[in-house]
Amino acid sequence: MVSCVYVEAAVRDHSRTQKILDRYRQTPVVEIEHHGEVFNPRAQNFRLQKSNPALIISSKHQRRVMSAPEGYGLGGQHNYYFSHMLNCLYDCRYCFLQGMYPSAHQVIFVNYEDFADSITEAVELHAPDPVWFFSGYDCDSLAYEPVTRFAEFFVPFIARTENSWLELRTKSTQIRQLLKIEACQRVVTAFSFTEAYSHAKLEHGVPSIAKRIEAMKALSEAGWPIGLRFDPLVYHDNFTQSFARLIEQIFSSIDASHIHSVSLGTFRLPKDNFRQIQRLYPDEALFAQKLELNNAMMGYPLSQEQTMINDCESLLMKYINPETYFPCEWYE
Amino acid sequence: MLIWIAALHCEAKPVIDFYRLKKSPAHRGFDLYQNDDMCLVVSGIGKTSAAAATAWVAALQSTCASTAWINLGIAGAASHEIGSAFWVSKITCKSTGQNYYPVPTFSIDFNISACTTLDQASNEYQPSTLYEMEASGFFATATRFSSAELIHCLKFVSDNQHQQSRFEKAAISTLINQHMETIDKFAKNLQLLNQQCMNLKIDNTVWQSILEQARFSMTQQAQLKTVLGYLLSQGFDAEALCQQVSQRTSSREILKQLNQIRLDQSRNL
Repeated sequence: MVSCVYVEAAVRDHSRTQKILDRYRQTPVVEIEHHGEVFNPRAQNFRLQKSNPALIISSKHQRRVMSAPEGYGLGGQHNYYFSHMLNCLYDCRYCFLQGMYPSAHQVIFVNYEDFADSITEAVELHAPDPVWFFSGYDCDSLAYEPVTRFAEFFVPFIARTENSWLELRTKSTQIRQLLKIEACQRVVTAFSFTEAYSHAKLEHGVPSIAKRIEAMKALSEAGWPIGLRFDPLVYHDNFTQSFARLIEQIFSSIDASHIHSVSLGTFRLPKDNFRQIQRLYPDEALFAQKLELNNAMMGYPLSQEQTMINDCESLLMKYINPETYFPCEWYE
Repeated sequence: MLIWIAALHCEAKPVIDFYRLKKSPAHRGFDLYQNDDMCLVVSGIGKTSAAAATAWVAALQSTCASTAWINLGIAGAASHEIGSAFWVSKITCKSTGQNYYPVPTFSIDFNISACTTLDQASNEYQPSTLYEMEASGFFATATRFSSAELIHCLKFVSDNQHQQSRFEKAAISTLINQHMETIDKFAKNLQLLNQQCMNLKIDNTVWQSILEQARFSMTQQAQLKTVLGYLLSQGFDAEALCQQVSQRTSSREILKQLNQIRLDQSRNL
């Protein structure tokens, strides 16, 4: 439930805006000039807002499709990311979005056609090479699908745009839209998991592991390529055993040969983000653990990080094809 | 601490009576009424007066860990009934064009409206907004001291295009007083929210008693605040912690010991 819907005057009559507003007939609607008026002021408390965020309907005019950082990708040479939303439905304590924006309100950019034009330009720039587009950087790609209809628009668009590849990154079970249409081999739905203990402690509002595996299985059986993202790995005394149980749980339901790609990375945050988030959540154990600064990133001491990665890789390699494995190098 | 700002005594009276606030004889800049957990300032009319009163009382309450704010007063409306009550979702300063957005984080039982802050009283009415004279000055100033989720404006329609004559003082008090239950519910929700913020802050007495144990540099104080903030949030007793580190003679040793307790506590999330 959102506390309020802010609508930019310029998109008030947009058909997508109207459909969204139809879902929130009981919610107060406030007209604004630009989403930055509500989203950007500094005197906001992300933590207080997160308990009952508002929705902001806006349009994105510039920098709609951005180059992905060096090292980020799934083996492709040309990697971009784009965000139809800012902020996430879920409340995961390790998430960098907590320190990214001053506001916890969810911004939806409704000018999908303009995003599509920017994607087409990027594809044409690199033709005939394949070009990857990652959609789950500033939000969960599918969690808000009933409201945003993001996949409903972008998946068919990618399917008809040669050489374009799309990663949908999600912790949700919102796969209904994908199951309605023919599977596209250039659209990978990547499910993020942390093992059960960290899930219970840190992923507030996220569907259970079992439900997500169920959703993943349904998609896989419908012919959709599936990705697994074990990121972040969060340390606790029984971490390795708990991770092993997660892997067993997943591969007892999913045929490993249907997995398009797997990646994993330990908990880490850019230094400034970390400081900001720690100020918001001084009571959070995750930020009180033994962490160190390495290459401007706060994370586990390198030896501990390496042990965690090695342990998880060994467990994973029992099931997956090594060619489908892509260690996270987003911040390295 | 919850702080009320009202332009006129007749607007303030229902709040003063309801919460049995006592006038403070010690303060001269503005009339101040208070009890243990809230205070009310009568600012005078206009956004400059509202801003001045807000800054003045913020300075008075500067030792409070967190402060919540309500600006309460009358407003004009095009067609809303006299006496109807509103939570303000958008404040526009007529003279600067600047917009401000109070943030709703709990359910609000009032009607919702935008409001426009005027520099002078006016009989012009537009259907999309209330008209009043304080909200923009109040809100812009209060956001210097608290986050927007803790700052709100409640407005009560005193005139509309059909009935433009201004109310008598007693009538204004009556008009606001009839909403006092809803106002109180709103205030309680806001105080709960404010309490959440206060719970995350270190009590000043505790902080001072730890600081007295050794000489901490500014960097060490920042580290101490982080470590102590976490431990107190986990239910550690401040006095017991002080006792535990009392054998340590240097700030570095105290930090080291507290940090070890923190690492042990957080190891398994």
